Amino acid sequence: MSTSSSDIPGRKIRFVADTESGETMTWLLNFDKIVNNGMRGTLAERPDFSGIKAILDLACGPGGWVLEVAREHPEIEVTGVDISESMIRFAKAQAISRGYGNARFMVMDVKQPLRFEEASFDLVNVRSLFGVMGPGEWPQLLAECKRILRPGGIIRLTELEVPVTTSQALNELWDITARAFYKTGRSFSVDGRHIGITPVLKRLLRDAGFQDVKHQGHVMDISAGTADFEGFWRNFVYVFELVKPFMLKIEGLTTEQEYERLYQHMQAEMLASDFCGLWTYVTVWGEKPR
Amino acid sequence: MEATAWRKLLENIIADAQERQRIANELGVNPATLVRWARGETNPRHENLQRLLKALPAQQQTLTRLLTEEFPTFDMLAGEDMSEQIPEEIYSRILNTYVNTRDAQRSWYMSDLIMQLALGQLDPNHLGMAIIIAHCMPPSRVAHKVRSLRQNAGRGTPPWNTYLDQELLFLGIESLAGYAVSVGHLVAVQSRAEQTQMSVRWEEWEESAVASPILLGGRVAGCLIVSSTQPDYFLEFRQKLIGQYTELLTLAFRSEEFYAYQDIELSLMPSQEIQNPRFSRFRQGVSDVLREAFREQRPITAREAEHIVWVDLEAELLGLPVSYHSQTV
Repeated sequence: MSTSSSDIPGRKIRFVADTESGETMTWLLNFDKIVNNGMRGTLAERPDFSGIKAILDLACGPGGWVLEVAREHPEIEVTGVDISESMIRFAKAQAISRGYGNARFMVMDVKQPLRFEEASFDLVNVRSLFGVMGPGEWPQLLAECKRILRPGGIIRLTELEVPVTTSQALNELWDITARAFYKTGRSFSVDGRHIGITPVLKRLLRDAGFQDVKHQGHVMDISAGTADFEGFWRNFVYVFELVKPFMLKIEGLTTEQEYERLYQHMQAEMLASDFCGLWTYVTVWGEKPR
Repeated sequence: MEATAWRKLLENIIADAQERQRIANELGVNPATLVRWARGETNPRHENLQRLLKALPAQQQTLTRLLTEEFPTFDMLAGEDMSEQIPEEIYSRILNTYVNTRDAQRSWYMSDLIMQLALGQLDPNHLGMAIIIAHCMPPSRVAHKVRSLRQNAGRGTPPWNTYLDQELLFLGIESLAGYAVSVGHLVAVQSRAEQTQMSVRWEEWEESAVASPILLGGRVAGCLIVSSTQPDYFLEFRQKLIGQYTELLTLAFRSEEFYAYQDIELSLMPSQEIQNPRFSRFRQGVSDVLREAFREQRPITAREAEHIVWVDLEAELLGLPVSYHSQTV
């Protein structure tokens, strides 16, 4: 990976959309739904939750995954942490409104030491951090995860790659995204043509000292006529609007006129009855040595 | 798990099937869940223990004593049940989203956010619920009256799909929503057996339903429709919650989308079987309108394109001879 884009020294990598806005929150609530559905459950790779009493979800956003686990498993304590105070307040309010006393939420920056004692959790879940973490930032986070997991505890990472679709505009918007991440030091890709994180996930876990590392792929059908099409379509309508300011700030990436044209065409092309697309997610997991 | 004393007491109480369903509805859980608690197979959440006490006022004292034997940390004085009202934080977040979202996108974000929150609170244990928003169509070109509501946004928990936006339908005076809009207040139908003034068209899994008109200063923009798989699910506190979420939904509409009552004269709309084939190419139709707009270099939003397709479809359906209408309405 020596030729991959490196972190930009002295600049902290932040989320690509405004974490305090209600639009981002609405997008993330919807995103959690399509990913939970697409992966067929909260912990699809496990036959059951036996031996798990305490779970931590890092960068939980508005809490979609945490709330789903809390609903399914009243006996498990699920904690979500996120850097955004408003996300956490909102996630707490949702837990209260649903009467899920086993869901807890705390404000915490995953790039700082995690404020939990050693061996506090049986499972740590991390999803879609690809836009927030530079390659150089992963080792510290994974070391922290290992510290707060009990021996035999499980770390679980889920990340995505660009979708492959019949919409030229959607493909181009993802191409711009991949290049934007490459140019701003968020990418594991060697040339900016992919997000590039999924192939390296297992190595990251092994390098951090986890053992028995495995992976599972999830291929989501985002084509016209599928049950969750509306969710995927909204996801792209939301996200490419929300990240637009970030994209336009990057020199030589795109122009406002071009971006707007692609955004409009993407909507028309996705709504066509012959629109087809597959979107790949990869989950990897490993165990802290006993 | 041993069947402790409180579980035996519960077992006796829920031996009566009607009482079992009543308690399950109060708690918003499946009746089978109560049976599992009684058998000692699973443990209830503390929130549900509090609700159980509330649902059984006559046995409250005994039950409290027996519960503390098994759950010493159980606090029966934990205060009011917060899940019976919309938390302040949710109100403030919704208002914040309203204020900070651009005009063109506001309606989408607001309705999406509010539907997801309402569904989470009204069906926290996934017993099965559908939440649908129906919009008043603009006054027809001929009679200049609102003739129907269009149903095109919804969220559900199983057995319904997560997204119900593809279940497109025009609703007229024959529907529960149409009736609620005409009378101007929330209407609940608690079971299929209930006699009503309208002929409610029940969906496969639907056992009870509420329609709550979206009103602003005496004008109406549409209706929130909530369906449950459970009979008698819409207890007073849930109806109140639906009323509050309906109030919030006024934020998803522009002021010109609210119509005065004298401008509303709902028609009898054709049955779903007649309507369905016309919606099969709805999205393609929206796509075509969008593409045509680009070609003519007057780009419009997907919302605006949808609107054009809806108006054309309504005109087509309203022009149908009466014999096409369903026999049942």
